[in-house]
Amino acid sequence: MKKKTRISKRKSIENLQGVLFTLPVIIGIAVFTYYQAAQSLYYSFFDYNGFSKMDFVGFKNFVNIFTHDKETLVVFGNTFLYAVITVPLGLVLGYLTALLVNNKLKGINIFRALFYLPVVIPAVAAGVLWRDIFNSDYGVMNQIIGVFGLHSRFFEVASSSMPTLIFTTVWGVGGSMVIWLSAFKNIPVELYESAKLDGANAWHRLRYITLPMSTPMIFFNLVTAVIGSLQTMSTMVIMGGGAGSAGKGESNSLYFIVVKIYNDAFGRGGRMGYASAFGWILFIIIGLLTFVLFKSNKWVQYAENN
Amino acid sequence: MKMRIKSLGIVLMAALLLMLPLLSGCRVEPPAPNPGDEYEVRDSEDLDKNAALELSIMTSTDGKERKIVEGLASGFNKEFPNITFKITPLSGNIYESIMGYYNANIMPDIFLNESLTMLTLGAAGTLLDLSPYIKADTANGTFNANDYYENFWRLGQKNWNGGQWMAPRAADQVVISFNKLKMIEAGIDLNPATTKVKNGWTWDDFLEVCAELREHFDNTGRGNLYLADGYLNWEANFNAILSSWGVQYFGEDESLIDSAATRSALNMMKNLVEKKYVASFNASSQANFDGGQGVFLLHSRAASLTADILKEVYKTQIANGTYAIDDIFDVVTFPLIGANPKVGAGVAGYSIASTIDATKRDYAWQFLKYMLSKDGQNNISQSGANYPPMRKDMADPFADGVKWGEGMEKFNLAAYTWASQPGHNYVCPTEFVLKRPAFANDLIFEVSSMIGGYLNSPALIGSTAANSKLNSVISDCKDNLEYWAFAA
Amino acid sequence: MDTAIKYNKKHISAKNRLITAVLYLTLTAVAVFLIFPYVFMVSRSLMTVADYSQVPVNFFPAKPSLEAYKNIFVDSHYFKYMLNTLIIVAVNLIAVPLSASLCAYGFTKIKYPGSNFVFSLVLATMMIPGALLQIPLFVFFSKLGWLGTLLPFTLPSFLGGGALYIFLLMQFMRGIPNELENAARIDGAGVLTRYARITMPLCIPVVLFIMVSVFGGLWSDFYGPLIYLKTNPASYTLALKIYIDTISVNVSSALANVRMAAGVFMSIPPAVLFLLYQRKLVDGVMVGAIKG
Repeated sequence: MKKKTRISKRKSIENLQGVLFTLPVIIGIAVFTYYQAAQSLYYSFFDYNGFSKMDFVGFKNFVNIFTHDKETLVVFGNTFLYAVITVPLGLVLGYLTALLVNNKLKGINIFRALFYLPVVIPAVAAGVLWRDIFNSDYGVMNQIIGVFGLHSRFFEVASSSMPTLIFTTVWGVGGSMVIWLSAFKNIPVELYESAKLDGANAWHRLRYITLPMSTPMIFFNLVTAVIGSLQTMSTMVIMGGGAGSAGKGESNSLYFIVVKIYNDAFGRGGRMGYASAFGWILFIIIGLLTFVLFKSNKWVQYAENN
Repeated sequence: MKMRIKSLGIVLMAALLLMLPLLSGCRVEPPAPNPGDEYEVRDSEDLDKNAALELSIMTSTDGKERKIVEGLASGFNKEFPNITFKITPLSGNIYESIMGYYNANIMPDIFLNESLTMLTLGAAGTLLDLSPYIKADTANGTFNANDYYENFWRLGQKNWNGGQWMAPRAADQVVISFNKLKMIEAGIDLNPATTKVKNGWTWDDFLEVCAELREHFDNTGRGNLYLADGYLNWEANFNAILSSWGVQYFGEDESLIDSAATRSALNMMKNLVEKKYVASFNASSQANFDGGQGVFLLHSRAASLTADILKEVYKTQIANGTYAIDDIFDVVTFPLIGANPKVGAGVAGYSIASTIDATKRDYAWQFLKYMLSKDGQNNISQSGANYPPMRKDMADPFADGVKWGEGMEKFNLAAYTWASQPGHNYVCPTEFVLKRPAFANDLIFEVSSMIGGYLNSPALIGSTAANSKLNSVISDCKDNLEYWAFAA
Repeated sequence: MDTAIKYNKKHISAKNRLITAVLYLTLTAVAVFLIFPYVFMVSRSLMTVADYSQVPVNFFPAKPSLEAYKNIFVDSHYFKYMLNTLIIVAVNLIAVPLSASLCAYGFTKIKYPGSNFVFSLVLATMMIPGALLQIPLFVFFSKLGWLGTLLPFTLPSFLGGGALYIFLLMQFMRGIPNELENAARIDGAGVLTRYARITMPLCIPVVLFIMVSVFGGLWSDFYGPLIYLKTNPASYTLALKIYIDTISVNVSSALANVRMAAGVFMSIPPAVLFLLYQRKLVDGVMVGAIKG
């Protein structure tokens, strides 16, 4: 009897310790995340300008987003187009570069480092750089493609700005390369060896060993890449612009969801309630996509060693 | 892990719902009630000249604006010696800065403003209506609104017609600054008796001069360089051009931008770009007037500021006595377009925060009043930039007791006040934003995008591609203007 | 090339040599492609204004000049802004691993009823877009008077840690045998001692990884500072200063070399850090974590 209470007492002390250890983070996410998210939901039903004007408008903001605001379609279109192209492109190019550096040549580590280096360059520095390289008048890229008799205005005309932006993401290929490399590392070498003995060619080894064994990594990469690309705002540095007009691109051709939220909330007329409503729509889309991705993850084969 | 993710959504929603009750009663309270236009003012005569208090002023800290405020402060201290000033920096745009200060309840007492942002900030309730002071001081004879150009004075008013939200600092209108050396080099006639380049010149005159310059540039290996930094995406410029062509932006409940006049005006602007007269305004192409390469600058920038910039560019030639600054550049009026020409204008100025403490309020008004006085206006020219004064009695830059022409006697400074002189009713503020003042900057942005979209398009005027681009930018602009004016 | 051939000496065959050569050629081509912009950036930053504005563009400066660097350090006082960045980074390098590891320890080594639920709550924050939170946080921080101060970037990190980092630490801690904890407990070690003396030393690789990521994230973040610091230039971080100076305003090409120099300067610390750390990164600390 006595022993039992001692144990339960010890248990409750331990529970308390556990709570205390996690308490800072619990307070943190309550105050800085959940409370704020709820606050934003609250704002989304108001005409709130960041000052004292706070008029309840019901669902008007949401209705406006889908019925009146011409930018809605543009930013969703741009963002999805960007995501749909860059996410698979990154995965495939990452895979190819990973294959390229996944051999035991001398000095291969130097190549790996060089391939990854562009990933660590800060966005602001990259923005400065792309603006210079792709400048239509004095940019070096026109000089390079000029060798083939080509010329483009890149970011300066609507039709070429999105392809140019997507082209710049190629330089970030190192990010997905290292994830693939890690995935390769986790595949037991014996699998390949026995496959080779069975006479499997390179395609078969890829199709039946590498890809299936890397699915958790691909999946993780896919989810984070989709969530990340839906929130892209790299155009704020590439396109520049003052408050309210930041990062729109020529004829809104590079206008993304997050940039629009920023412009609505902090630029010009200050439509914080409206921007909050837009933020919630983005949140719901991200939530749904994540849900769909997890629903459809039958193809993901988790290793059983945990 | 897998299972957990699936229940995340439910968990998240539950947590958010739990948070919602916390929000009740969480309305945002304004820092102090806006006194409206019904508040007590103390008569100027009753103010204690020795009152000791601090006024905070938010202004741009780069360039000359800070010097202007410092100059005004020291001039003001001659009358009120014990009032000190704390200058808080403005960075980025005025609206955002004020929003930050407002929410943190640390509003500056006085702040830099301009006629468009003022509309939005006023609608947000942050600006003090100065009418009671104006009324009282008009009655006691220490202030007279008729001293100022009516066309500029009203740009400081509620919706540009009503209570005073801002005291305009200067009467800025767009002029053309030009590089004399380049003109002479190209053989342009600048003889005062015969030149085309004189106040009141027309658009055709301008184009003829451009054609000559272009030819000269092309023949001297400068085919890539534009002649003018045109700032055609800046509302003061595009609005004057569109309005000269008779473009109407709004009817009662629709936008009228989709018109033949708009098409003509846009084609005229595009023509300037195609002929390489005026640089379109993407970051890359520019004439680089400020670097001593371009010939024209279409802007309202004060002549003293341009002088400072070009003195730096030509410092060796000035040092060795080859040129004086008045050999290097001069200004002339914005060319007149058509039968009903307009010249762009907009003003910057200073506003008093609606949150200001009642005791400080009286002195803040005295400060603005000083800024608007002859002495204050002279002070601005001498401490920072020789903007054209707000006062009608100071129009002549070289008159006695008027300082904005001091040291610049050889310049055609009359260009800066030309369009607002009696008989020239050319001053043209960006009136169409009044359709929805709270979204003034958004409305401007849409028109600016329309112009940018067309001018930056590589298709040549008259081609099918250019025409379809023209139609699409105009129709987009119409939709967007209607959105901001009626739906947003 | 020579060394590569020697390396393969044992399997000399024409085919192998060819494959090796093709591989090196491809590797070099890809490397040149990926690195070219950054070499170009360095080269442009060493140009004078006159040199810079040449058309066609010069790939290398006619005569290297440090004019642009003088501008960023002497005229624009970039060190002053870097100090703000460094303060934020320094605080976070301590605060983030600390709060994340405390939390992860609580979830894995102690576990209390409901801890799984709390963990779900922590994990779910990953899905909430930053764009949603920035508006209420802006209002929240402004009411606290935190705008224009470094507080929004420092204080909350003691209460945060970030879901991803907590998750990584938890996966790592799960891999540490409980016997170690139990043995220490029998020796009378209290829970804090066990956390600090037993578990944390074993977590150093993942803590290092977190610190590198925290550094990289904060060093280059211009967006958070843009929202919360905009009103006070004295509080600008380096990234925000560069953003405002070179990007948000339409500056003339006269300053283009200065912009490049700023970009180079900004890229150096993360690049150096990466080169020091690259083996571990490519080995992938994250791998173990994601498998579960």
